[in-house]
Amino acid sequence: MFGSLAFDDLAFLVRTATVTVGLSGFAMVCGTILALFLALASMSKYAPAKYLAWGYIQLVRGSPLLMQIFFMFFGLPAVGIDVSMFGAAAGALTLNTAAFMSEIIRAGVQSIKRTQWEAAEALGLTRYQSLRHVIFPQAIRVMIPPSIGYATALIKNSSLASTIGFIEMTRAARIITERTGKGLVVFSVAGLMYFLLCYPLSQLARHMERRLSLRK
Amino acid sequence: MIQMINVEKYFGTNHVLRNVNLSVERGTVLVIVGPSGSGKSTLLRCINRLESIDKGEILIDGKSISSKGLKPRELRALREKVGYVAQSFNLFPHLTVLDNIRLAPRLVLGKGAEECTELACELLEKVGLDDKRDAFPEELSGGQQQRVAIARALAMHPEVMLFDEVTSALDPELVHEVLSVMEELANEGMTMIVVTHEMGFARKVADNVVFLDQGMIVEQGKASEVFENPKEARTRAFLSKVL
Repeated sequence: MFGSLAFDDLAFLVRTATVTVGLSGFAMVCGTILALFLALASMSKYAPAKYLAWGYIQLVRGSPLLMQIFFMFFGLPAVGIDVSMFGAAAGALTLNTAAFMSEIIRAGVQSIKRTQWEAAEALGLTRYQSLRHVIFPQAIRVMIPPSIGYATALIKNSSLASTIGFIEMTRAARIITERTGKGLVVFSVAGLMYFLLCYPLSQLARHMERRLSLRK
Repeated sequence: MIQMINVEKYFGTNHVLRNVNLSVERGTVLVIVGPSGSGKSTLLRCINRLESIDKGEILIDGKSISSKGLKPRELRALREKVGYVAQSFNLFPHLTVLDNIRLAPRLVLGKGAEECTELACELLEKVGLDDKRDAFPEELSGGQQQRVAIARALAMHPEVMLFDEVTSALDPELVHEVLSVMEELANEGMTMIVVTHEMGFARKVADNVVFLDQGMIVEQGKASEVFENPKEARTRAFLSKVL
């Protein structure tokens, strides 16, 4: 099967696979940092912050990612903001990640019993100290499996960046196909490479889930 | 040391504390008894403001912990004086016994790591668990966990300790080890407010007793008087059931 695919084409796919990983990794890291603030806002007692965060999360989760990418790439230039292909793709994926991860973080924090907050509070810890030293270290165990689940979805969703011409793995597969006509082989190989990226992650999620449930 | 003045508290329409007045002198032990649902735990939780009150005032060393305008910093300063141990221990499950005890002195009092370790070891010895310092809470029995919780509260050098039915969740054979730690504390002169169903223990350590029923203080006074010679019919009825 690989035999009918030129070495250069295979190398092109591998190289763009690293672009896919880079794009997803960028969105995952930046999105998670944003998500942390969003989650704090959505749990805050300060109503405006809470509703702003809530509104943002609903808006992002309630519209297609592809539309968000188009909005960034075709929409923003109309108001004078020029966005590169990478900027649009990475931006949309990051904003998406922020919304989804903030819900994972919020669910994790809220899964910790109120009595843990009380115990910390009664010892004189500030809200931030309680969160940082008592709640978060416990909540993170709850957050890890769904976060990894989200990361695999993100890797696959990053293929939507190909629609605005950004060259990641899916776009590369299309380019090779258009040139060689070997769509079946090319997309099989590309699909396999997506699988090789995602499968270890979902195995890791399963492993973590088992380990974390044992600790209870 | 602690004063509650005309305290009223509602949970929704449920009137849980009705005109509660009491005071606790430094170095004395107050035991609060009463049927379940009478508001004992709520009363205790109001003292370090885990619950807020709707009317009246609660003073710690003359300073109000119940006032609405209290800043978080002022509240923490008052809470520092008050140690609280709950029925369900609430140890931090992700930390070792030693770290459970060291956390607050380090973060709140700003003590150095070495000093905290020393303090923690001292307290663990006091509650008879010096061999468990590196264990995680889940590896301990209920009685051991509760003793760690007491040590954790003591590490903040509180001036008064609140005990909220600390033996109610324990197997009967483990109750004693926790009570004896509390008895030792009482003998050392710690100011304590204890909600308990352990009447034998209450009789032994209490200086004063409050009998609470339906959120109201029915009777309060010297332990010997209330236990031996209750004036109110409701107190007599309750005591005859539990003693």
